[in-house]
Parts: sequence; structure tokens; C-alpha cells
Amino acid sequence: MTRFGAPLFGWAVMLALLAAGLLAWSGEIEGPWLLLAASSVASAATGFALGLAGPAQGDRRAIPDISIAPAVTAAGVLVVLVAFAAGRWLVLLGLGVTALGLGGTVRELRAQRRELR
Amino acid sequence: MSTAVSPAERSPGLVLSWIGATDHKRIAAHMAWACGLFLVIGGLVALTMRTELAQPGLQVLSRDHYNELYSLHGSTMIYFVMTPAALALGVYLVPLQIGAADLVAPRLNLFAMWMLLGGAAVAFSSLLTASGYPRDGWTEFLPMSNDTFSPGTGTDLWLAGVAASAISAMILAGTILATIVLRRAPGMSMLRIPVFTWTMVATCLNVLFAVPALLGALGLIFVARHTDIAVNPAAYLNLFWFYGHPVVYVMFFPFVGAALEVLATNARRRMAGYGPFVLAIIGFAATSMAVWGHHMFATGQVTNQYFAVTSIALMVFAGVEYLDAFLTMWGGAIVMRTSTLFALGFFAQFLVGGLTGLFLASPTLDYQANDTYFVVGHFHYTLFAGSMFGLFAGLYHWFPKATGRLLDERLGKLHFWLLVVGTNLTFFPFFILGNEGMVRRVADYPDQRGLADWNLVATVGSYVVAVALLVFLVNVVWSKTLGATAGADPWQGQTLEWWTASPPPRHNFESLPPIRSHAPLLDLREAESE
Repeated sequence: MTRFGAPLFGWAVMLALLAAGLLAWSGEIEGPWLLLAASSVASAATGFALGLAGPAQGDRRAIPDISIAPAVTAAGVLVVLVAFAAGRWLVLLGLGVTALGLGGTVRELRAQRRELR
Repeated sequence: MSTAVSPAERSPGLVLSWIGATDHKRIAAHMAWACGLFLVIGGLVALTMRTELAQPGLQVLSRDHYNELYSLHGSTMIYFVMTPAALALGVYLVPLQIGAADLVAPRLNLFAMWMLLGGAAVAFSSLLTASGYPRDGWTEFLPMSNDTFSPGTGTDLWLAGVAASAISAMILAGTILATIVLRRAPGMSMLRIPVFTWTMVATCLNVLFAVPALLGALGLIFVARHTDIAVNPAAYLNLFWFYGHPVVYVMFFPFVGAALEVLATNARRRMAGYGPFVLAIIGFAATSMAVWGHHMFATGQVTNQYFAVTSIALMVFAGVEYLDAFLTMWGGAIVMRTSTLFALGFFAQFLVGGLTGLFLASPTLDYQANDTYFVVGHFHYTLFAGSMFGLFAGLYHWFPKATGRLLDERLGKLHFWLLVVGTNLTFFPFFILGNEGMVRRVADYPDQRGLADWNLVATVGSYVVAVALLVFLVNVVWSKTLGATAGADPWQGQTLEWWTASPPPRHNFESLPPIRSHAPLLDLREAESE
């Protein structure tokens, strides 16, 4: 586990203390307390996950210079979001465009893996 | 450091390379240009509102259009200018400061950039609908934003656009944070990462754990508009402000980091109090998550005493940062570049925003000031007079790194002084207006108690701000093509980004110096001079 976990855990502990303070002051488990407590747990979990990942020094990475797939995926997701305002029929169109973008990403990742071999 | 291997060489067309460039520097540059465009839009809207408010009565706008414009101004500035600008600075600088070839997950960052740009387009498109732009401010409180009070598709498009920008912010924060964890150069421990990068750690933590609450709040508006389920307005307020207060720090922390790096470089000294700063910024970020209730003092729905104490406690952490800035300059050979002026302006003017925040952190005083121009003054002193100055400090400091050209210093200083005059002429009268009882979010006001005079002063100030921003725009356009060549390290910088060429190559570094502190280049210079 990297030392990065330390500041994130420190942050999570502070959130937990602040949540405890709110609980002590208000005397009841209510919405605001839950928000703060949930954030503390989530940040501790993130610290743990990041700590497990550890620094990846010295590895070989393939970094793409150009990739159109993310723009296509974003366009698809945006169409899905707009569908909630402009008409639910757009959801299908948006999902189709998103699938196209994700498919392009998978294709690029496979090509990238071949490049590294 | 990871070794970057490019796929087979390709020569995409200009449009294709603009749409699909995954280089973190290009993504950040595209975001910066977009934020600049949105700033112009939001600024012109503000200018129109100030023109309307120059004297009592309705001269330029109807009440309805005024309500649309203040909502457009607030939403544009928060969701599409300041938050993305703060993250764009991180997208550009973090890999360079920690010696990485790129951010992790370059495609995900590109996706986030398009979500931001597309989200802005979707939100702006509500102007074209029959119902127009929403009229309830950037906060869109319930029940004002439900389908009874805000019918039509305008609010729905706003929801979609803001949701897209929120998703974009979370992705960018996640990849920046993961880059700091996973891609640091050999020798760069967490306690050797530069000050600006530490402020990005705090920023990303706030984004990752506060922005989901915004998505929840937007979901509540959607439910209130499209279902028969009754939504409790207090639940919306809690969710919204759980996001809404930490996001102020998202728009503050990176600019503290930028201003401190500028001061350390231009004072030619190592930043004082690095360790206390790290503790303070983490404490600041955590505590800023627990103060949202002060926005709800007047509702009677929160534990006022608790939120008053936590809000006032923020001053301790802010005090550490101010002390660090002061001690860094103390005894230094300060070079008064434009970036230095903006950094000093940031600390001086943010102080006004911070101290007036103390007033609002007291429930008894907040009851009086609630919903008045005093709050508007406080808010704009933190975000415009404060953070915008920090942003400009960073832009003058790192523009040569990004473009290879220096910004013109004479135009820069003209820009600074015009902005100081304009900012204070515009926003200081807000405190007086608020004290006189002028309420915010109104197109008109009574012609009494000197309200007209102070409103006129504020309007004149807003035009001075516009001229200042125009000077900056001229400076950028002129300097980008005709400015003096910068070289790799024009300021005798202290952090890794000044080790590489200006602008940096695709994968940032050909080599790296030994890293023994948060200021490795200063270490080298000191070793050479011994």
C-alpha cells in the first residue's frame, strides 16, 4: 500500500469526526449526518483502493495520440441525457451511439495491446 | 516514470486531431479556450444585468428576461467556467509537476472534455426553447424548479447540461487523483509533490465526494417535474448545498496553489511551511465538506450552532495558507512581475471575501444579511476578486510553458490595475447595498437610501472589468504569435514542469532531474551555487 493512503485516510477520519460532532450536536441521525458519514466511508474506501493499486513506476504504457471513440461515446451519452427533455425515443438513438463509441474504444484498446507485445 | 510508447505514426487531419487529441495538454488547452468563451458569454450577460440595474426602473430588460439572465450568468460561471477552469489547470499541470508522461486513462479525459463542451451546448440550447432558460438561479431550488412553477423543456435541458458537466468534473477529478497516486516520478513521494499538486489533491477529493450530491439534487428536480412523487424541498437544499459549498473550494484551492507557487518562484525562495500547508489543505478540504448548513440558517432545518462553528473553523486553515504566503515572501528578493501582482491581489481580495464570510457564518448576522446584496458581494469577492485573480496569476506564470511565448508585461500590468479598480468598484458597493436592504435577484429596486448611486457605481465598475478582460484578450492574441520567446525556464522555476521544453513535447520529458524535495529545480540551483 502506498503512502498516499495516509492523507486520504486522514481526510476520511476528519469527515468521520465532523459527522460525530454533528451527531452529538443535533442528537439524531438525520439526512445531514448521513451525507457526512457516507462521505467519510466512501473516502476511506477510495483511500484503500488507491493504496492497493500502488504506484506503477517503470511499466510500459501505450498512450494513444488520437482517439475518436471517446467523442462518439460522449455524444451518445449526451443524447441519452437530452432524451429526458426532448423525448424518450432519443434514448435508443443515444444508447446506439454510445455502443458505437464503446465498441470503438474496445477496438482501439485491442490494437494498443498488440502494439505493446 | 512510465515509458510512453506511441502507436504507429498517423497523420490525422486538423479537425480529427482537434476532436480526438488525447494529450492532456491539448485537452486542457481545449477546455481553457472553451472556458474563455463561456466566460465572455457569462460576462456579457453580467454586463447586461448591471446596465439594467444602473438606475431604478426597467430600462433594458423585462423582469422575466432579467430572471433568465441571472440564472444564465450563475450557471455559466459555476458549472462551465470556474469549476472546469480549475480542473483544466490540473489536467495541464499535474502530469508535468509529478514527472508523468500523461494522465492515466487519456481517453476517459477526452470523454470528460466532450461531456463538458456538449453539456454546455445542451444547457445553452434551453435559450432556444419556448419556455426559455430557467429562471431560478444556478441553484434551481425546489419547488420553484418543478413543473408547476417552471413548465417547459428549458429546465429539463438545463438539468441534462448540468448533469453532463457534473459527470465530466468527477471523471477529471478521478483521473487527476489517480495520476498523482500511480504516475509519480521516481523519488517523488507524496511529501515531495509540489504545492499546486497538493491543492489539486484537495480539489479532487472535494469534487469526488461532493459532486455526486449535485447529481442527486438534479435527480430530485427531475422526479419533481416528471412524477407525482412529492419531494421535500429541505432534502433538495441539503443535497444541493452539500455540493454547493465544497464546490466553492474547488474553485479556490487550485488558485491558492497557483498563487503560492507564483510567490515562491518570484520571491526566489523555497515555499515556507510546506508541511503545515499540506495538513492545512487536507483539513480545509475535509472541513469544507461540513459547513453547507450555513446556507440554510434561515430555514430552521439545520443545527445552526454546529454549522456556525465549522464555518468559522475554516479560518484556521485559511490562516495557515496566508501565513505561508507571508513567510514565503518575507526576506525574499521579490520580482514584481504581473503574475506576482495577481498573486498578491488574490490574497488581498480573497481576504475581503473570507472576512465577510465570517459575518455570514454567524446565524444572527446571517438572518439580517440573508438574500441581500451583502451575500452577492461576499460571493463575488471570493470567486471573482479572489479566485479569478489566482487564475490570472497562474495564467501569466504558466502561459510561457504552454505556448513557448511570454505574455506582454506592460499589457499585463494594465490588465491587473484595471481589474483591481473595476473589481472593487463593482463588488464593494454590494456590501453597502446589502446593508441598506437591497435584496438580490431583482431587476428593479426602490429609488431610496442611495441605492441608485451605489448601483450606478457598481455598473461603471463592471464596464471597467470588461475593459480589463479585453486588454487580457488582446495580450493573449498578440503574445501567442508575436510575444518574446520563453525558453524552457523563463522564471527560474522550482518544479519539474520548468525542466522540459516550452511547450513540452508529447510525452512531456526526455529526462528527469533527481527529486529530493517539492522544489527539485531549486535544489539543483542551490547545489550548483555551493
